[in-house]
Amino acid sequence: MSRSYETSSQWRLMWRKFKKHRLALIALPLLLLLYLTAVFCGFLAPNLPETRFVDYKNSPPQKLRFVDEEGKFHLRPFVYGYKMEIDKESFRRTFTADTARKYPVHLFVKGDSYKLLGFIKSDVHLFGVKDGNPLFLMGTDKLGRDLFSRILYGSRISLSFGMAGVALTLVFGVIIGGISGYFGGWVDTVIQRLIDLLISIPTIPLWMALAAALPRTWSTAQLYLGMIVIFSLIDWTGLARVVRGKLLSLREEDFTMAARLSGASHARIIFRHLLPSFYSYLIVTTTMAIPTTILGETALSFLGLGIQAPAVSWGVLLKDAQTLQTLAHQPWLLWPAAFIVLTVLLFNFLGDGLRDAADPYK
Amino acid sequence: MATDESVLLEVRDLRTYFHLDEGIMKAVDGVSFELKRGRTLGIVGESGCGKSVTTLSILHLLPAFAKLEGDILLRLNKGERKGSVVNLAKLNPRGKEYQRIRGGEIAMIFQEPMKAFSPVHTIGNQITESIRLHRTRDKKQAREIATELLGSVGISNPAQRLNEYPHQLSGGMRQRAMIAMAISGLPSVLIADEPTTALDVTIQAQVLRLMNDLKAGHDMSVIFITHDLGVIAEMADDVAVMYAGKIVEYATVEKLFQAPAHPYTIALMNAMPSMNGRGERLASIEGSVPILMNLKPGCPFFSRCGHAVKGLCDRSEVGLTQVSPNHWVRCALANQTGQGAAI
Amino acid sequence: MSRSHPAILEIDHLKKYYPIQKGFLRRTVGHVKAVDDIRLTIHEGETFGLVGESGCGKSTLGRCLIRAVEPSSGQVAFTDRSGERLNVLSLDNKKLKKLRQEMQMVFQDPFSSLNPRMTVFNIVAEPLVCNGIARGAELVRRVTDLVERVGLERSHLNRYPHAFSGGQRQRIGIARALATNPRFIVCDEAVSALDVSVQAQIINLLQDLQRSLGLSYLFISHDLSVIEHISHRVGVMYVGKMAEIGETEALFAKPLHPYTEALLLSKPAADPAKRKERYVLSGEVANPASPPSGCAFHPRCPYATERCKTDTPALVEVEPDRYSACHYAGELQLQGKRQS
Repeated sequence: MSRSYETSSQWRLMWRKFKKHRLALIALPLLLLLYLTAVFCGFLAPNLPETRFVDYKNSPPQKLRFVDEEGKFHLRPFVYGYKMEIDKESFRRTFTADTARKYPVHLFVKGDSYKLLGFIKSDVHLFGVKDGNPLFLMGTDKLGRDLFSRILYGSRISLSFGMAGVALTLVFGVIIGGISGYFGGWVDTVIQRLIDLLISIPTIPLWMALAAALPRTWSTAQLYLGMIVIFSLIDWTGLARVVRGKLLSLREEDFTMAARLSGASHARIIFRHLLPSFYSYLIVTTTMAIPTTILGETALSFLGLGIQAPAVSWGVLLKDAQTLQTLAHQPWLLWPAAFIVLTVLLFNFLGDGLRDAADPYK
Repeated sequence: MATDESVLLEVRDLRTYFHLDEGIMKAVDGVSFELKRGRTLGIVGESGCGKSVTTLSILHLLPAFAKLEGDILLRLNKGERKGSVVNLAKLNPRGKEYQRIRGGEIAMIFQEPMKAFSPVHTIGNQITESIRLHRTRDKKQAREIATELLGSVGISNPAQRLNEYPHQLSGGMRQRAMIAMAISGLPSVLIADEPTTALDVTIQAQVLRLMNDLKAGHDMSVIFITHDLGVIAEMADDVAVMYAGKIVEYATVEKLFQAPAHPYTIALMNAMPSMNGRGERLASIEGSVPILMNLKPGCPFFSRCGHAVKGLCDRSEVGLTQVSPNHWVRCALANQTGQGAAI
Repeated sequence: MSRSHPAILEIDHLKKYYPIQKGFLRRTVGHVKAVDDIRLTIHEGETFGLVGESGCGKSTLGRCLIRAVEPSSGQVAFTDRSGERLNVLSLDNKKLKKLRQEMQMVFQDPFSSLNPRMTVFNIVAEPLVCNGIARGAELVRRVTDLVERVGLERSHLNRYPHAFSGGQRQRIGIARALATNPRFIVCDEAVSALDVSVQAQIINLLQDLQRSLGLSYLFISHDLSVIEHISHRVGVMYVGKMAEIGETEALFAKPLHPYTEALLLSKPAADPAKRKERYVLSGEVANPASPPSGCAFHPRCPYATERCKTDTPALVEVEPDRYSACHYAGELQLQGKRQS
């Protein structure tokens, strides 16, 4: 037992345990990176999400190259332009790399102007090709919009939705669960029966019904908030149960009794003794709930009930990949799904690690 | 052991080490003892001394990070190879033979019966399952044996109790039911790990008497683990006192209580309130039991011992010394005088 | 001790009934009489030992006195430092808080009784802070004093409970109980979870503190030898009722209730020569939700008669300072503790 162990607070002990969970340790920085990407999407994306490159509809991803067709190595990566041909029989456009047109990729290039963080006007992009030439790392959609840029922009809504939805859920869950657990008696009974009722309704149809009730005339921002409220209204039940259960068991702990006998007020007992004991549980539950919420938003948007185009979220983007035909000919349209899967997996790994660390005293 | 027919179980230099992230924990460190037919061996010590791990090692009920070394020799009491000796330490812990030995040759009862019983099956199902594994395949016959067993451990209405779930019984009854399940495979060795610690004193007396009756009736030998010297005095024929993973004193129960020789044993006895006059200060042992990791060389009791000699006790490992017939002590001071620690 | 010292706590007809509720409407179908009509006086500077088997209500009784559990009815009178006699059960929250500065509790479980998320300093300081007794440098000085008084070191103050062994944790719990300078402490199985060698340290500490601070204890335990060692007087409880009260030596030498005799004789003596004398009481501890009629002990009592099945015996003074709730208390010749 080292000296530092003896004076370690709960958070330090949790960190010690958390560090032993390899996957979680990898997931944490990756998730941070994803969220940073969402925040600085304007700067990171080479194009704007709504810019159409009419000559490049449904074009496949360009390869980032270092070695040209003559076998010469270039320190600066470049992409080839596309030669478009229309198949006379199927009227299908096919794109082949045009080795004659070489576009070097530069850092900090000037391009379309955007607002960083919503208020800093800028036209500098982290990388791109000069003179408005195309750079489609993940291909384009049927209107010729850059999918990579759209995914980055879409992560704003998709990722923030998880956070915001769970935050509101947390508020509902903690307040209602807290009331239920702290007061007990008939209040508890009524709340618990209400939760039983809510849980017994199948979630997806309920979501769909509520989402369909949102006025079509609402703006994207209104829709976004509306959807968050819907999710929280349905999702708080699980969290409320966790809060109540934990509160009930903590209330019975001897140290709570000891605090009462020491003359501690209700507020002090709640804030000094009860809450710190379950912050860690709340964090775990919350972390595990975020991916569910992200998936929920994706599902609804995919079905056309959630966020509506022209706003972009990963669910909206996936809507383009609904038919088998598009999947067969434009498989790159599935890129948003890869991001969703990655995010959900990372959150689950993180949640696993946090759960193992949540009670460092066992 | 091969020659002495009266020895049922012999443990030789048993070492059970736990390989943890923080280091190697020597939970059991070189323990040797023998269990003779019809006798009760008591293992006594404070929490963390390794007494439970010792017996769990015999049945190899250990976590994956545990490493076991040494010999655990068992004389088989039934089957074709009756009378021959197997080394449990060399046996595959998940193998068929070990499975037959657990319950069939060696059975175990615990402090907390809820650990031994599954909460979702009736007592009857669990006991008959064990009977069918070790005694008869016939379902009806197994149930009859189970009823008889429950009656023999003093449970009223045994036929009806068979259909009840563990949580429906009181603590004492549960303990009796667990004993019934343990002896259902007709084991020759019964290991009891603090079987009465969670019980009230009047119920404890009942269970202790029951165990002695069953031991006599079923020709069993018993290893009895406890922290309570009173229970040891009541139950054991031979006693091993454990401290920090080692046996520090090994003697017949009469010798141990008449002439305890290890400073730890003596201190433990003196710390018992009943050994002291009312209201007097108790002769407590200062400090606490060491954590069994990165122990310094020498006697593990060194830092708490009132008789420790610097430069002698803290230098090298102390071996067991025979101080009189059937009485061994692991104390450097006992070595010197040849008759117990010079205390 | 008993007669010469003034009473600090007088308990009269104290009851704690827990309703048994059944069904959807939670109708009350009966009561668990956890504490059933207890009368008892504890004197200043005295250790009163309360012994009994699990479920007999001894812990509930201890908690009722300090109103950690609200009693159903009865009277508890506490004489405070200024000599005023307070009716504990009718105090409002403010006065109760004041009372609890003089009445404290030490818990059984050294692990769950300390908040693992607070440092030793904060744990011990809590009563001082909550009661506005000390702050700043004065707080540090007092907490350091307390911690050193219970045998810990100043350097332990900024450690968390997980860094301590069971015995040390119990010392922290005792320091917290002592913080407001109480005169009466309920020790609820305070040494039961500890190993023998550590248990002895804590018993010694409690006795030292009693001598130096003039404390009174209600010492609750199931362990007869601990009770015998530490108590001046002893009460034996069985299914919510007091079976016997008396001075420790007299009670252990010559019990006046068959249940006391059974407890004393059931305990294994640490002497292998005595093992043939084992006494075994039949039957199980009665269920407080449906105690037997008459004397609750009658189904297990070797001396029970027809009268015991119907008449509930009252606790009466059989000999000076010796109370027993047995119809035949004066007539039976009961055996005392086995000498070891």
